[in-house]
Amino acid sequence: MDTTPATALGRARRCIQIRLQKSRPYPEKNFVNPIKATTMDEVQLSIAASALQRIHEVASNSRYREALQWSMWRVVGSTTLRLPPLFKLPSWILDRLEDEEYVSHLSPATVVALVAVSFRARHKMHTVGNLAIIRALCQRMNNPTVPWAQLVIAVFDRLLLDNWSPHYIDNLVQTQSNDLENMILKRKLHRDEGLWLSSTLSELCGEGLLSSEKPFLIGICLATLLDDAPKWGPSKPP
Amino acid sequence: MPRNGVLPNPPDIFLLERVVTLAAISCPPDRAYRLNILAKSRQCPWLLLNLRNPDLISILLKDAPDSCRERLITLLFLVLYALICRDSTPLADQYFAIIAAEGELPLYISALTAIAPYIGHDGLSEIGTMLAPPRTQELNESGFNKPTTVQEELLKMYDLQLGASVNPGPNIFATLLMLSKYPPSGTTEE
Repeated sequence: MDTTPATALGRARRCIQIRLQKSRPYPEKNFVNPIKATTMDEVQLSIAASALQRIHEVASNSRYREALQWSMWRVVGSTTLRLPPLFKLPSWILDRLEDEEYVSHLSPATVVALVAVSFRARHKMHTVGNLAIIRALCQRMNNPTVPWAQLVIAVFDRLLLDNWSPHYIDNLVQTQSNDLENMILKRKLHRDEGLWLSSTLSELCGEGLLSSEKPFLIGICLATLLDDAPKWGPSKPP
Repeated sequence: MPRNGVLPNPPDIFLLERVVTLAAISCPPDRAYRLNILAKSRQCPWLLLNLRNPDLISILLKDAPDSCRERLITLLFLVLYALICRDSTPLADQYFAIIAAEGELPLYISALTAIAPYIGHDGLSEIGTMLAPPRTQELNESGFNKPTTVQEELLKMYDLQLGASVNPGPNIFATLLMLSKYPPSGTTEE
């Protein structure tokens, strides 16, 4: 029996379906269906993140676009959007971190967003001075109780520990190396925070900024899934 | 029955992809290889290219130092259970084949003990059945009528691999107790 759709629209739709199936050579048809809704979210988030990055690049290195820049990294630094892969802070924003008065006017949420995005500014962060400034920003928040802020600071401390000798950072780092793992298990991360943590650590590790310490990274993976596992159940009710 | 008062959901497939990516990236010293894994995860996260490539895990497990081998097996059991929950049986089978090729029963039992409180009886039973599938047919043919349980098969495997003279460790007791805590759903219905 010929199943070719009668309309051009139907045929076009079928071509797209076939093409999508070819680009997604997964052997299980049952596997694709349950993830449709979340897949759409993920595609939209990636598109939104790319759009933000494009706007950011157009406005980069221009002080006249300062308000736009601040808004950009604040949005991107939050957990609601994934950080675009190559997103970097313009150098002049990092330079302003040395201006204590300017920084003092920032809200704690803005400071956390700044620290989260600053992981991408490796070229500027690789001096003890800049790391110290960013860590001092974290300390100004006086032991934040917001889980997202604690998570960002813990990751930052880990980055410090991996990149600088204890001689330089003894006074800076407060988070112990296994605190991040304990934090995940105690605090119950939100979905976006878990995604942010695993992707940020992957990127830092991929770029060689974390010393590929396998037990530490496996511990984080394990804690992330253990945190999530009590919610798991079958896709279809029995 | 809801576990910990929370209604069960299928595991978050994107979280699994990110976790597998992070685990895979922790292994190789080769920067180009790491960046390749990272690029797959960055560009089209919805294609789940790293989760769907169990070879990454195979490499990871082969190169794992002894210090983190048990934790890695524990992590892989969690990934395996997550895939089972998502009805992703062929992929779960591939992951299980990799785990089964690289470990020994005491290591598995220890790993299962670590995750038992988090995955509950259902998860433990699923993984236990994969490790030691009940040989119902074989026993029926030889004259036994009752099917064997996961617990019995685990003990038999323990004997086969370690010898009957070795006393079972505390981990296997913990696993057996956990499996016995709730009767299988079939028996309660009867």
